[in-house]
Amino acid sequence: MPGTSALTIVLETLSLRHLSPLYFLPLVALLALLLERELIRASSGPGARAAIRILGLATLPLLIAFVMLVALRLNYIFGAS
Amino acid sequence: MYLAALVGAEAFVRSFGAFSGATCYALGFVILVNVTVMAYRRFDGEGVRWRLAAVAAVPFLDRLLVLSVPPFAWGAFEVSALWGLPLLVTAIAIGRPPLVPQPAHLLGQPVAAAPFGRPSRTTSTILAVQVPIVALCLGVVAAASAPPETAPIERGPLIAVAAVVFAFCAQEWLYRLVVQPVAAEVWGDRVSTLACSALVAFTSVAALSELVPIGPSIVLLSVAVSLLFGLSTARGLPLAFIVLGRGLFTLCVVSASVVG
Repeated sequence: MPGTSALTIVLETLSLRHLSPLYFLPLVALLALLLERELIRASSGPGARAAIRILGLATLPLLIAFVMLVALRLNYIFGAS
Repeated sequence: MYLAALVGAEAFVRSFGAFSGATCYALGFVILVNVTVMAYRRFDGEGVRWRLAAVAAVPFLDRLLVLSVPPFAWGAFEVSALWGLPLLVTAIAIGRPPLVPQPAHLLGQPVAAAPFGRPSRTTSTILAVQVPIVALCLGVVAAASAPPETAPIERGPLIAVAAVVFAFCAQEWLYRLVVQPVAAEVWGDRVSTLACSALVAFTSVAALSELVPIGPSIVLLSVAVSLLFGLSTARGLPLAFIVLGRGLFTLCVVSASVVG
């Protein structure tokens, strides 16, 4: 299709335009915590191991929420087709 | 300040919509996780401050998930109850040392110390059985006094009701297994019972309001049932009966909307 960007094709294929931005909030929080975890890992100061463990536990429910979002999306796409 | 943040975030949900409120909850969760990390590093994992900060993040996470986990579709019907799954995993992941000091049986007695006097084995069993029965009675009263407006869950399939009940059971389990024992270490059992019950009542009523119309009677009965579960936890009764009680109470409230 001329004039159609790759982003538009991806958005249409995955039906992402029908998703509320609300659903991506846990993902934003997850990315923030994962970024922080990697920064702490890189610094490797005292107590870094414990901090990484705490951040790992904090990211677990957000990770599951993200996996559920992906699973529901796949179910929606393949269920609709 | 903590309560103000919690109430403020909920006020954002009611005033400016779910996205603004969920953003506040997400921000609060990330901040409290960072406070936990800082407290842990500062006190080298000793003391209760980092534990308190960790459990303080639980209501923020709870509300964030309730608001932002998408509903699942079952035919033409949609129900938002999948947030129970991440809460269940959270309870399993953090409901053990070093956060919860003593290894708690998953559905057994939550706290070793029994502040209100440890009952004998027979008395304990009788009390434990009474908890779900009283919760069921309160649930029937709540169902009978539900507002007559049309509920969004009307004519929902059985699996939707089961998913909602499961989600509320996971929520109750998380608070009673993790939050209340840690709060009890800091403030003692009476204050922790009241504080944790207030938190559970707040989060469960807020979650219920997404599904069914909420009237003052349901709010009052939810507070009563949360207090009952708080006292049962503090008394060292098995969590299985408390979770069962929450399930029966939720089943009554939700079923009233399905039938009505």
